[in-house]
Amino acid sequence: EMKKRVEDLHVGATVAPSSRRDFTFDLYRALASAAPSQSIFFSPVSISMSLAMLSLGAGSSTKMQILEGLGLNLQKSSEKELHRGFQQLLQELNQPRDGFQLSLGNALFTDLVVDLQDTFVSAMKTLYLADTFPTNFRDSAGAMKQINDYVAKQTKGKIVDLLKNLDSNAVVIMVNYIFFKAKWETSFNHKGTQEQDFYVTSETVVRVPMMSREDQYHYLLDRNLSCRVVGVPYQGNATALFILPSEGKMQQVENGLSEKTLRKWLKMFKKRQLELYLPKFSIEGSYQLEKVLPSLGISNVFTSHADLSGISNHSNIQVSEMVHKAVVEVDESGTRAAAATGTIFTFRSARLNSQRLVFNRPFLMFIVDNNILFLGKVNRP
Amino acid sequence: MDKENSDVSAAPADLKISNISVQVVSAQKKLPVRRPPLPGRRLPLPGRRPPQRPIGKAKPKKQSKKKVPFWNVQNKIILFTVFLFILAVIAWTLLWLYISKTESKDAFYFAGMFRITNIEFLPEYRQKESREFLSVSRTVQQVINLVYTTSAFSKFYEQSVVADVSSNNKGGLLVHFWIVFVMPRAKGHIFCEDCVAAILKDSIQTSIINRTSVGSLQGLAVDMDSVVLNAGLRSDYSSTIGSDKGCSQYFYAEHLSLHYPLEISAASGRLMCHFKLVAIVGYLIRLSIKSIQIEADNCVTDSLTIYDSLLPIRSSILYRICEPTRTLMSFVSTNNLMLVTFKSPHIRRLSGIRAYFEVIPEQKCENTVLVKDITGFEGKISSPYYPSYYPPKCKCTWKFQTSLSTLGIALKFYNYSITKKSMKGCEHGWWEINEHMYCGSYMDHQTIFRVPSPLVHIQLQCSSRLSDKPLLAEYGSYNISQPCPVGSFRCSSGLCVPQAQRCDGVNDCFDESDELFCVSPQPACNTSSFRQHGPLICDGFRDCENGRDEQNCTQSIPCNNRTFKCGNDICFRKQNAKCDGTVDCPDGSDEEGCTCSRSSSALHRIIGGTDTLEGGWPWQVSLHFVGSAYCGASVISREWLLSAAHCFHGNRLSDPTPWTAHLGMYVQGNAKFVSPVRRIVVHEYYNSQTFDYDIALLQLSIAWPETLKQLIQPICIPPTGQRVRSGEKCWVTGWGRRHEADNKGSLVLQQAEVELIDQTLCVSTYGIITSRMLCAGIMSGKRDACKGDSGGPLSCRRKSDGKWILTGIVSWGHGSGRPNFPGVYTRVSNFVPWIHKYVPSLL
Repeated sequence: EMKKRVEDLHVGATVAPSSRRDFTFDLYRALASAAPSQSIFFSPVSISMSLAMLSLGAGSSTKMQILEGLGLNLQKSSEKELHRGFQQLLQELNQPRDGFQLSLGNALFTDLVVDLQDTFVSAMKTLYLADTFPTNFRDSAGAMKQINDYVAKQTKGKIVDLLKNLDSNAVVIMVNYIFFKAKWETSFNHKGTQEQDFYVTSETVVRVPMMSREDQYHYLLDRNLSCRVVGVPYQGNATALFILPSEGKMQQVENGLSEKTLRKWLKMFKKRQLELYLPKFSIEGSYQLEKVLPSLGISNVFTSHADLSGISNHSNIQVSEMVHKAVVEVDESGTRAAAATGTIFTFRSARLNSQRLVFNRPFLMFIVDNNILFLGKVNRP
Repeated sequence: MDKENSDVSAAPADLKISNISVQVVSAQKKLPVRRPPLPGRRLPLPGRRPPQRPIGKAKPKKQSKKKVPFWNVQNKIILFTVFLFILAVIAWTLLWLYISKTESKDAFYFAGMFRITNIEFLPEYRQKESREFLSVSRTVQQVINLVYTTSAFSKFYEQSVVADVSSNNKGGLLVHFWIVFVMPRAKGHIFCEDCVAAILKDSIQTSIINRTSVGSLQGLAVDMDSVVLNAGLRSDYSSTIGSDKGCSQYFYAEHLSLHYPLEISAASGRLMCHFKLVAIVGYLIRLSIKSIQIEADNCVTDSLTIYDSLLPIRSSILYRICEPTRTLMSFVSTNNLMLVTFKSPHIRRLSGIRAYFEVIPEQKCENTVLVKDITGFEGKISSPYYPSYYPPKCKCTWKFQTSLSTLGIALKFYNYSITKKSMKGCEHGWWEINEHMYCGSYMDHQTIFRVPSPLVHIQLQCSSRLSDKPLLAEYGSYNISQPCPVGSFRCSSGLCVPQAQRCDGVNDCFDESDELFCVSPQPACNTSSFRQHGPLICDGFRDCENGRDEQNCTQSIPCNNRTFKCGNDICFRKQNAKCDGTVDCPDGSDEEGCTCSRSSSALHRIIGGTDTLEGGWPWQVSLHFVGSAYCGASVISREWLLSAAHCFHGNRLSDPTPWTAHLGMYVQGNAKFVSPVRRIVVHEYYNSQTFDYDIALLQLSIAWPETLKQLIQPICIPPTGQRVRSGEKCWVTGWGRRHEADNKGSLVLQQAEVELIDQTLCVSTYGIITSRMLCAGIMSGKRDACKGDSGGPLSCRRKSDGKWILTGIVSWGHGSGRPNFPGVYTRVSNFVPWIHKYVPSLL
């Protein structure tokens, strides 16, 4: 059943056609090299969406940079399709589902002096369900409160304090947030969760609540990249992939990440009985994308060279900040009880070796449905 | 030493050197690279062909100048050292060459097939020398070359060979081919079977728009769904491609209702035959096997394999036969072709097959039946191609309608049962009956399944990987409000038995449900209806207050099939007299030849267990899979062990070769006797979903020696249908985990005393208990078997003679040692005839 689901995944294919550039993984590497020993967590689909939205208001080379940066080389007609694709995806993602909490949104906060083009505002609203807010950036504390309150409200309090500080010279701030919590298809047993050591490095050890469940998982050992990958399905279409690099091989795995690698993993998954040990954690990533995206070729929009004529007639406006925040909680809860009667009766043969998979050192994590919802590295749960 | 001597000693050495250096021409090329010639060392060898140039140049001058003083001791030592050195270099080079040569020869063979949709079949394709065949195979080879030479495995890709091009029932061409990869053995591990197949599948460009499975593979129109590619054997490659065809044959079956014989046998030598059968398009092939003569060893050496293709592609196997058989069995293909391979590489006695095949039309498995309003069974439904084994991926639909809304539909199966589908998949048939899901499983008795609705829609989908046993069911209507006649009891198996037979100690329902929830089984003890026979009579347990059921048990009466017959033809009522520890026959023949252990050692002593004393359980065996302890087993004879079927469930586990049996062991790893396993016999009705029939026999490759009989002893098999009394104390032993949460098994053999639990309590605890299972433990938990103990013995000591009886086999449970969840064991007394079928020497 899961195999079928895995086969049906077209990672990154539904919206963004396969690209020359690998936006998702280049962005990952850019974030990783900026903060090598820290956890990383972001939502590629959400960032792509917010950039595509921005491109609606961009012109000339600013727009080209965004589209090319996303790995798209589009004709006018297919640009329309791109936006429509995102519109559809947003509608799908925002649909309420059992045991599935996802809040994803974009908002643009512009200074009072900026007059917005009506066409842009309505396109944002209809295609991206995004709001624009006039903001008095000269009162930076007030502006920050306005932005943070908005996001907190939208995420039902799951993301508070999006901004920690705000530059009073800001004119346009783009905000992109995503919160995700879903139930596993089969829950982990609370009783099986125990404090265990997690080796942040070989010297640094922290205690983490470690969940455990023995089950049939989709599993593979990638010998090329030296890592083990296990797929744990959520209720519905999403699946979490946890990637455990062999000791000392994190860098190698990070360098090998690509859409092709991900496809290969999904294809090579085999069902296997495993004793899985996974930390219970909540991970978040908060990024000032204006500092990272220029290394991926998207730079103009954040400088005075920005052509944002589609957003406003006001000359010389630029996106001062582009804030992305992604939050995911991982715990035991699942739709189906792990210990439902009738399923927990087990044969008493011994286990074969190498059937324990313990995520007790830094690992990578994907959450995919039809797109890569999240990508991250957990250095310290 | 004088000159002559030294000359003599030098000459043969020189010969050797030149001999070798001439033989290994290529070695010299490598020599300078690996070991540069020794610079500046003077080599005073007279007049020889030098193995290396710099050495040779220096020689002649020295020799002529200083002839006599030259052969001093020092020079001789130098000479000898150099000689040794050269010899070592050459030997090393040879070794290196040998290793690199054998390494590079490590080839990987893949057998596969796919369907090309845009080329029509021509009769010429049957001729491998024809222009047409050569042309189409060249095209396919070029395409495969292109696929793999541009893939990640291009470095290792050697070639592809088209083996067969055939017609098929879906149209177009079915191409069978081999792909060969060559790589150093050290790199073999990076080679995964799935990757090779994925490369081919990835190369097929399917169009999403027209939504067919046909895509373009480098210009060929290939059906994506038809692509199969598996790792194959070198021997299969050479016998299907090579010139040595041996006993291999092609058959083209063009005539319906004709039996094409397939017979081959040999009394010595080897048989490795591939029979390729091709029928006319639109038809299928049925292979009927009359008898097979092979060595039984789980197909390790001898096998008969039936493929749903023309090449030995593993995932298209329809069936495998690993044991000799004389019962007629038949198998049906899903296409117009079939491959039958017969392998017997070392014929010791007689090996051979007697079979025939025929061309049959495809059958639709569907039917709509109007059932008459009389209640009873009136017709039959069966699996496709009954009585043949039915091929995988089949689908049947049946619709039934009764004439009255008060009548439902009843299905009576002969050796099959359908039960609600759990979260796990179905192994032997997936049933959808009026929108409810069920799984089917085979068993050794009848069952009746009732659908309380006048309109019944049934769909059966085959879920087995291989062909499955033929299935037959009788259908009829029944009264929904009263499924069983008045005065009868409805068994869990669905059968109806007279109420009077409930709780009489006789398993009338076959599933024992008529003997559960009884106050205590009561045979009719009063004179009028006293039954002279039955399990409660003369079973050693006093069931009647007046003791009547245990009277006159060994009094001679006329023989019939319910009496026990002594050696001197005297018969009496006590049926389980054989080896029960009491001499009943006047001539003592009932206790003759009972070889099992009369507990050598006095009772010494898992979860809540204690260390045993060494030698306390001489029948206990530890089964190691690829070197690590995986299950337990019990010694029942010199070469046979009894264990649990689930220990051998799965591709790798079912192969006997990775297994070793450790006998006479106390501390893990210190066995007195270790033998590889020659053969594993898993019960044919074993079902991993229902835990039923969890029993397996193992034959050792080497019988344990008589000299170890102090340390290794067989345990007794219980008499057929032996009754156990709840509360009886027995022992479970093993090297399994000592706590549920442990990760490893115990080092020292553990033992725990457990009580046999009343079957009714066992059924009410677990629900899914069958008559093949029994519960043992203590209700407070704490003492139980656990992971790693499976297959091991539940040993009970018989009071009458002090012998140890193998009452149960560790099978399953809810966790381990949890309160109110006793361990579940396979009830050995239900399998005595089955054990005797394979181990006749036990009686």
